[in-house]
Amino acid sequence: MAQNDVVMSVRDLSVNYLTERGPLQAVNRISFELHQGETLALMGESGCGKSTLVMALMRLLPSNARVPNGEIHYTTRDGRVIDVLKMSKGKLRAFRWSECAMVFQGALNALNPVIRVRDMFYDTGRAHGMGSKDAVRERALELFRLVRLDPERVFNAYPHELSGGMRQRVLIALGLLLDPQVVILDEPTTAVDILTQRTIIDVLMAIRDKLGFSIIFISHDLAVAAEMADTVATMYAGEIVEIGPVNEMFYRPHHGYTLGLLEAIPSLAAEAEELVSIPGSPPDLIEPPPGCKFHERCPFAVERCSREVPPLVDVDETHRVACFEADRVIAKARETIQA
Amino acid sequence: MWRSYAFRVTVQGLLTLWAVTTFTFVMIRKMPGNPVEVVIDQLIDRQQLSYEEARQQAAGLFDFDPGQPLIEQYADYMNKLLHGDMGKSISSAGTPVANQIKRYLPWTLFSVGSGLIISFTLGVLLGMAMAYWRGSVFDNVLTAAASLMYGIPDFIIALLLLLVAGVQLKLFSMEDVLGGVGQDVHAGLNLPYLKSVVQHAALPVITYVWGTVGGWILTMKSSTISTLGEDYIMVAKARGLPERRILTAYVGRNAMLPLVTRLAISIGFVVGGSVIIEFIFQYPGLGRQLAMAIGTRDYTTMQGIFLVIASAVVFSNILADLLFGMLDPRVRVGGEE
Amino acid sequence: MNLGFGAAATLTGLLIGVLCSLPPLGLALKHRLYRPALLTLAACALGGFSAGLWGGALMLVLMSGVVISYAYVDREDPFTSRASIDEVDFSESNWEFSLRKMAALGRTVRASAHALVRNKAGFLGFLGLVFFFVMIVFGPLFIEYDGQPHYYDRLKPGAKTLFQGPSKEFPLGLDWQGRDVLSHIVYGGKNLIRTSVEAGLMTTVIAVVLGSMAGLLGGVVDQALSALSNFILTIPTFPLLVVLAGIITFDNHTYLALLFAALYWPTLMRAVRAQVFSLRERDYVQAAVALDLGLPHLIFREVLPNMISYIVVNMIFTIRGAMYALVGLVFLGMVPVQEPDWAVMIYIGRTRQVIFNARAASMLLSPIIAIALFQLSLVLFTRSLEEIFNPRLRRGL
Repeated sequence: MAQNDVVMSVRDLSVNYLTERGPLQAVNRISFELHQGETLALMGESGCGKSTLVMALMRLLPSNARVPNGEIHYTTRDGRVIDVLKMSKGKLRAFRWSECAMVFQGALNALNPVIRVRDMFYDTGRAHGMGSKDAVRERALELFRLVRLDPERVFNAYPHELSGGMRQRVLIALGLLLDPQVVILDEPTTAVDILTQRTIIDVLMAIRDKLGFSIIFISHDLAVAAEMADTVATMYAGEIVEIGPVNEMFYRPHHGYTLGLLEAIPSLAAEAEELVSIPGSPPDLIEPPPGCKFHERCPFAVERCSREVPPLVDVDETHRVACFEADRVIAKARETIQA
Repeated sequence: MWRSYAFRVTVQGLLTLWAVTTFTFVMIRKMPGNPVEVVIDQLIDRQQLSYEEARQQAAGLFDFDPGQPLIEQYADYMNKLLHGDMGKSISSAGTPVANQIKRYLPWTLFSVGSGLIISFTLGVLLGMAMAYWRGSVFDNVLTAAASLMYGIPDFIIALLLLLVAGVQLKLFSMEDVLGGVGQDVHAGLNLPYLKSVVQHAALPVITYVWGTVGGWILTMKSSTISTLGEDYIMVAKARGLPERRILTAYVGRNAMLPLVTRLAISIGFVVGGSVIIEFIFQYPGLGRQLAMAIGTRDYTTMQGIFLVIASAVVFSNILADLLFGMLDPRVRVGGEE
Repeated sequence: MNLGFGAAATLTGLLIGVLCSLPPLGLALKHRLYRPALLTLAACALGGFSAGLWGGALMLVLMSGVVISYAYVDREDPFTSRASIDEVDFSESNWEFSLRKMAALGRTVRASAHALVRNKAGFLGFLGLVFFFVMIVFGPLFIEYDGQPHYYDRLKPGAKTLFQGPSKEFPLGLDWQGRDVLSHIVYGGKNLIRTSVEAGLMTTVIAVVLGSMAGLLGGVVDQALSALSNFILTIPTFPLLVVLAGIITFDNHTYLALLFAALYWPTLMRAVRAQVFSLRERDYVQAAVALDLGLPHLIFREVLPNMISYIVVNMIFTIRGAMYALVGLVFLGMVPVQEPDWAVMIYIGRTRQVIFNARAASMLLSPIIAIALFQLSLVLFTRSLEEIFNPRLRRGL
């Protein structure tokens, strides 16, 4: 991919939550770039900072969160670069949704229960100066067709009249209303049944290819990630420990944690006992352990891991990892993945 | 769907109303030591009548025909109620109870009604503001104040107002605040009269607001807080909607839902007023009249006032259900359970 | 010799308390836990002194739990250890089991105590309730009840007139018969509070039983009970009480409490019923129903633990409502009056026109403030109760 098509570039971003015991480092010095039309998947256990990271990208953090350092640069279609963290309130309001939209998890509560679906579209359109109601309506109905919803009926419905899968697709359509360059998907398939998940993934991939926006998405479901993503980033304890192209990550993981996640996927072929979970639980983020944060749970850990923090180094042009023992991990990975 | 919901709600309400009237009938006529027996005993005692004579006279007072079987008496009673005939007062020599109610009801409606409006408006505005600036000094002070107000019974406040502000500090004179209106003004649409009415209603209204505003504030605050935590508020922010629109259509409307039902129910309780507060301030409302009727053993008046109070509550409950159905579209389809 | 509640506020009670403290105290000292030891001694002594053998025994169990929770170390969670799951020994003797349960009880007590102290408003309410408790239980030890009227010719020693304001000898002044107001405050709360608490307890019992029945049996029983509760909820409670007072004579306070309960149960009953319905959907309750474990098991093991917070808070509010209604009825003169009673003091204040007598304010203000403070304490205390009974609000130790 060429260097000049970067849509969003995050540098050194940290987010702390103020708690009674002290600041909690939810996101710690994260950097990555998102290219046009690229799909980036974030993997990791719950509580590893994925949601905080994407909230920070839209500046939707709760009031007890602080961003001590970092930059989020966003390139608009006409080539202007804006710093999201330094935007004024009014500009931020305009930026949200028209440039970067988000499809939230838990479709049930993401729609205001007391107003009709169409009013949510009108509200959004009006807030971003989309002109007449008819224009909003036309665009919405077109999007509904794209996400395979009965356009007229859904447009005039109340949220509770729709099924979970339908609501999720309404949210996707709502996210695309203003034709954003980046769409953030926060676990878009967790709250729905398995067949609906399938439809949603298919729909998402189809419209992504048609409209050509970039996606950042969070999912616990690694199968979904493997299918949709171009790039995968593994997050642990608020840090990106490994990032690379999807095939590299799934077949040649360089970090013990990535390997651990892969080993935890149940596959139909594998026997139940081959399934290995990662022992232990994520570290305390208020007083994080010294060295590599994963060393306490890492089967590859050596003495050095508990002293020094491994830097994120290039494996090749697109693949980076933060691990001292990457060679041993890749050796083990060859063994297990081939077996 | 809406129609069948409204129909169900209305039928349920009317059934309750029927149950209340029947219950009152049984209570007055058939309960051990019921008022009819008491009056008969009194008449035998005082006027040296025979049991039959006393029974006839008591029947005259309570307006029923003792010769009829009970079921016909009941039908007769229901029929009269349907025509707004609640019998005649026992103690004030033959005044129809309906007339008495017409005389006292406006006072209660005026004082408690304005108290309810003030209390509700204040509560909703303050509660929402407190939820918005949660944890601020403003929030903490008002939360403490609201709990304090909520914790102290209203009649205690009424007595304290009279005792401390009236008697000890002499902020007002008793003639100016007790009763419904001053002696020296003429009823009608003139300024001194209206001024006197407002002046006399001030203390009952203050007491009422004091006793209820804390509840409104705390409910609105917690309702707003839970609404603010909903995903759709976050989504609305992410969509870049203007703050004002989020506040009204997204936060306000959802947070108000549980309160609207309570408001409608409270409207029903306006008619009953607050018996004790009206009694303390000698305010000529329905509640005080109820207490007086019981003091003088005026059972027909008592029954009439009680029925009016209860039906007001029943009707406001119907209203509350209908309103809730209109505001929250989920109720209409889901039905109950 | 009465060792139960009869031993309260006597030296016997104190002795019982100290005896009860010995087992947990010994255990604490053995493990060199000095602070818990001190607390144990104090708690048991207080328990015995305020409620005899019952209080002592309760504190004995609770404080043993607390001491054990400090001394007892649970074995490592196999999830966090690296050992294979087959190597972990899960067996546990009865003794170990009871130790673990006692420690769990102790942790609950400690968590509750922390929750109680952490919520400042709630703690203030708790202190208020303790104050009234101490006044009612221990007050009579120091202050004699002054029930006989004193007139001008035989005033109390040191008194100058009837309706005397507060002075050094009579901190709350004298009433319309020259009697000491303070003694009426000390003695006058007991009946009022007891009736209100009785009403609260009865309401809770009725509501929980009927609600569970409606929810578990369903069908006709449920429909009938729901209709009845709808009906009662619609009747304005206080006017009905007033009307009933006009017909029946309320000379027995327990009947009065039962009457309150008959009018107040529907709110809680509906909540219990809804909870039972939602529980019934869950597999483990259906399993319990299928196994025919019986109504008591379902109520006590499945329903109550899930809504204890709501039930307790509701009970406190019922107590508050009952007290309001009771004082109101007495104030209007609908209930036969019997001294000493705070409500009766207000009633007399009204009938004797004390309210317009600027000098006599103390006689009327004292019971008013006592009632207001008690109700305020109740309402504030619910904040702590919510935190104690709601595990989600509780934070770890």
